Amino acid sequence: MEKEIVTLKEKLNVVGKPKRRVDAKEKVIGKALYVDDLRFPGMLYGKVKRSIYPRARIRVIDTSKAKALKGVVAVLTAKDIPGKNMVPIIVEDMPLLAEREVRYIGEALALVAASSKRTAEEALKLIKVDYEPLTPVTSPIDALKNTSPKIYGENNIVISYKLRKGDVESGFREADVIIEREYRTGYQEHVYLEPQGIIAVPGPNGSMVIYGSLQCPHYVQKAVSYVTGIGMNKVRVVQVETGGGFGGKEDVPSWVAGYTAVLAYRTNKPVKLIYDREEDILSTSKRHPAIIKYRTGAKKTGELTAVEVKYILDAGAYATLSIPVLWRGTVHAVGPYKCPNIKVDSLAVATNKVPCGAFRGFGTPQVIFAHESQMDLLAEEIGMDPIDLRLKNALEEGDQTATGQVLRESVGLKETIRRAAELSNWHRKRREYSLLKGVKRRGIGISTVFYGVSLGAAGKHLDKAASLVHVFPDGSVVVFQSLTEIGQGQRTVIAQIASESLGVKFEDVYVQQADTSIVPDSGPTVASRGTLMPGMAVIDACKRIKKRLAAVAAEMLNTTPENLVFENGEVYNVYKPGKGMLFKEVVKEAYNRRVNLGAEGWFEAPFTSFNPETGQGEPYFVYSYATHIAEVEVDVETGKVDVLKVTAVHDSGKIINPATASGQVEGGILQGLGYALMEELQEKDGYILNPNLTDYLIPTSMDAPEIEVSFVEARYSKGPFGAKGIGEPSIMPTAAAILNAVSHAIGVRVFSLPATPEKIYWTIKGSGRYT
Amino acid sequence: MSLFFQKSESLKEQGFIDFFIILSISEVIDQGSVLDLQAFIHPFSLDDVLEFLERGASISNVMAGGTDLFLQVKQGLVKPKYLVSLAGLKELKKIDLEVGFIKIGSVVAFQEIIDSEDLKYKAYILQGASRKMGFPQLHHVATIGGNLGNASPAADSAPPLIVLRAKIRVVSKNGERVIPVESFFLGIKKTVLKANEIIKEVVIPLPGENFTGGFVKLGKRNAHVLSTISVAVGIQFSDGIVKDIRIGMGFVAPIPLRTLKAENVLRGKKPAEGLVIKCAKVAASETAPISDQRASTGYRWEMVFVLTRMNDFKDHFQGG
Ligand SMILES: Cc1cc2nc3c(=O)[nH]c(=O)nc-3n(C[C@H](O)[C@H](O)[C@H](O)COP(=O)(O)OP(=O)(O)OC[C@H]3O[C@@H](n4cnc5c(N)ncnc54)[C@H](O)[C@@H]3O)c2cc1C
Repeated sequence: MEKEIVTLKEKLNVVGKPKRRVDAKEKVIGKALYVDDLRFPGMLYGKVKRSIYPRARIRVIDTSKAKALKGVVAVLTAKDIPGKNMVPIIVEDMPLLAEREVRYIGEALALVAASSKRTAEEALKLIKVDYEPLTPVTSPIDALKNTSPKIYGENNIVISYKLRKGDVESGFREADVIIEREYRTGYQEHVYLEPQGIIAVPGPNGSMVIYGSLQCPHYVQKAVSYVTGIGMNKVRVVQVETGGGFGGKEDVPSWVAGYTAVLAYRTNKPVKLIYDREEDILSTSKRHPAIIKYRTGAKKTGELTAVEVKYILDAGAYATLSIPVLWRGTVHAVGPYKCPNIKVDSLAVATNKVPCGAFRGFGTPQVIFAHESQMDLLAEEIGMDPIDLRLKNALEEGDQTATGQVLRESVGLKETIRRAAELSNWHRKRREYSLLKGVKRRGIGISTVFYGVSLGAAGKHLDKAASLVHVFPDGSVVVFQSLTEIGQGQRTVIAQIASESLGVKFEDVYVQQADTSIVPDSGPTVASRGTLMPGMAVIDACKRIKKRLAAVAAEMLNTTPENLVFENGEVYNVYKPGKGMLFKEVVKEAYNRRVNLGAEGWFEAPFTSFNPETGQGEPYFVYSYATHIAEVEVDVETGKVDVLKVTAVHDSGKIINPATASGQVEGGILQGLGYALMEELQEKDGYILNPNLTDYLIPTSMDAPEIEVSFVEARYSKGPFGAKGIGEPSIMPTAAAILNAVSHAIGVRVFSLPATPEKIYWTIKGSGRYT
Repeated sequence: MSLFFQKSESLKEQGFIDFFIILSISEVIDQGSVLDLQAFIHPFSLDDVLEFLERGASISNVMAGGTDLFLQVKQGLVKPKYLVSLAGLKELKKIDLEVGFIKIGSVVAFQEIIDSEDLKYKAYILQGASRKMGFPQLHHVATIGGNLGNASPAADSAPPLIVLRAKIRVVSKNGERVIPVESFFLGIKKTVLKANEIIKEVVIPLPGENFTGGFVKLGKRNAHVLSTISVAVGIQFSDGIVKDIRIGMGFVAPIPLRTLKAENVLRGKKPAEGLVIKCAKVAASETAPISDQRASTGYRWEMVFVLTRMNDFKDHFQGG
């Protein structure tokens, strides 16, 4: 472990403190403005006409009746798109509006703009689409059959990866035990509080401003430019307050904005397009359903000798983000363990269903459910405690990951396991719960994970961040950066980093929301990179300004810049504390001396690499680690599970704000609990049966367990004040920990998610126990 | 909301305007959610409500808390021209304890049922079921009359009311009639109510000394959930013998169901374990649960069995 040396620089006043969220008050009192709160003169309301077939040829779209309706200003189809009829994501396969064929229920066919929402809704009904229904392909297993209709490329495979290390066959020969199982996981819907919404406002000189609920302003800027043909220099994307994203506002706003911008372009009026909840559930991205075949070999003493994984994702109709999602899942498929022999094959397969995309964890919760179930099965088989088994195989500094990457620093994994075991009283409870009889059984289960922070080798070209910082003559500071606040506390953490870096009071820093016309493209707000990447860029800008100010202050205080301390709005000579000046006095002087008080900051992600043939390389520059221990009570007569407690220990490097970090972990646990036990999007033949919040259930506060959060802060030398990332690791281990606890409680295992009461009930009944 | 008379010309022509304050939700109409709504009518006396319904029943819907109705309006399943609010009827917002029975006004919200001292002793099964309804905010808005009037097979107040031998008093301009709860429902969203009638109150006879019972609701989460199934059981004991028994169930049939045959298994008997299991089996055979997004028929059948057996018989066994 790195030794704690408190030097001048390391004494922290703001970073590491539970500062209150800068956006909290306005949101709580209802003053914060979300996209649906905004209005513009002459604004029209947009609506989208959507496919009612999972797969069909489009013969004719007749818009004449809709156009004739009073109040309707425009009804547009593919041929009315001024730019390219294509949403630019990773590969170009998805049209903005379907022209000849629809590939999933909910795919967009036509757009309406009208003077009221009601009229726009009426107009949708008047658009007549003549379809020729085709046989849909709705399961990835079917899609892989030779006989399957080809709905994507030559073989329905969107993308595939492989990872090879050592020789698995000899690894399995060395093994004393081999565990082989198949796992399945279902969809997960984001259920962000605020559905998708965009307003497009045409401006002077053919420009366009987009206001929206979104995670990735620069993606939207590119998409709007694509579909309208307006140069990127004239497309400005402003993120407004956003009611949650979880990955669901990574790529989707690109096409929501695409629709809106095309309508605004054609009508030359501001257009607002807000999704209904049902429309949102039907037509926007979700977590990919998965099939995972997993084979683990180990010695009687617990060391892993071989791991073989086949990982299949149900991609839906278009590639969207399946490519990086599958890649991340592949790289993380073995978990945070040492293993010399590894073979992973992964596929994302097209089906005639809504395209799946980004969701917190990004292709990892599925494989984690598999590898953590495998670890428990293995522990049982060799008669070892699940904690001991994990400690035996867990990665440490100097170890190699599945991709052959040697971990050189910031590996707090083992400490997360040990501390979680201690805080949860693992050993006592594991013993006591095993002895329980009766209708209510209890169990305790563990899951442990690693997570490559930021975009990694696959997203290298986007992995950079910019910032712009201005100091004003009154000593106040404004920070611009291009990652977004989506409820996670990003602006607060950035304000803390800026305040610490410049030595000004936290209250004197104001962080603006993202605006593509101000800050260069900094990549997307995804991959748990919202603190590390812009944080480093902000530090860079602050350093530049501070250096200029230090020169002035040194003269004023009759010393050299190295002796100066900037702290809490004051500047003083370290040898003469108490005799300094106010920061704003220094700023005022610098201002009068015509010193430039603004600076741009820049940060490029450290080195990453990946060999597509072998999967070997350094896919991520640093990893976060986490262990969750869940305790549950299961009613064996009904199958109902109550999660009693989750103990969560995270190594995300230095924690900039313990309050917002805990908030992330608590939210992640609830979302993971939903994924584990109740969130079930039911689909039949391409139709989603429960596109509503009555029957797609997410946990309520009444389902929330007691949560205990603790941080292991293994600092990362290239992160801001040593920080890594926490947004996704917070959900990743939860479902697997809960399922492991459930099987400890009932003595049988459920191999698919979600483990609903009914599924658990039949599993128990099928096992012949408790009769 | 603003006072709004313009769209209600037709009402004026019909001579209603003198009775009522007429409000409009013009903003909502603008947004297109409520397509055909012309007026929201908010009377302050039962007579006014009944008068209005007498004349305009076919184009009106009564609304209490609106927690069911508004969703149906939004989904276009119900297209009221006039919404007649019952929220102004103080006379129907009371719980009265009288000799031999308790009356719960139809516009009483579930929070008042939960908080009522009288119900605590006399109808705790209803209180228990009310607590499990929805979530705390809902309890302050949703009414018992709305829960029954909505006639969902999953209405959580119905099974306990069946068990408590409750009757529903309905009223129209032409008078009142009284209907046992189990005869009130005809099918999904269908009741015996005529278009000009509303529920006035629920009348619960006070149970005797040795009455015991319980309510179990099964759902996929702990709040804010429609029942997968629910079961209420109430037993009147006399010297350890089941003098009378009632079993009511939610979401096992198109209507909240009373399982008479299962009751008969135990009526007049000592509740030995074997008999309770038989009762539960018979109960399952009387139900016809559906398969839907919430659960399969098979699971529901098993749960009818489990929950009927689990229900408060247990307390009795434990007590000897
Ligand atoms: C999020 C949510 C969760 C819910 N959870 C549950 C739950 O757990 N359990 C459950 O049982 N229900 C639940 N409900 C349904 C609903 O809240 C209840 O049925 C409630 O009791 C309805 O009462 P209300 O006053 O809101 O009725 P309204 O919506 O006002 O009316 C419902 C129907 O009854 C009619 N009606 C109302 N009052 C009368 C009357 N006096 N006479 C005749 N007809 C009348 C109306 O015309 C309408 O058809 C839930 C609803 C929501 C929105």
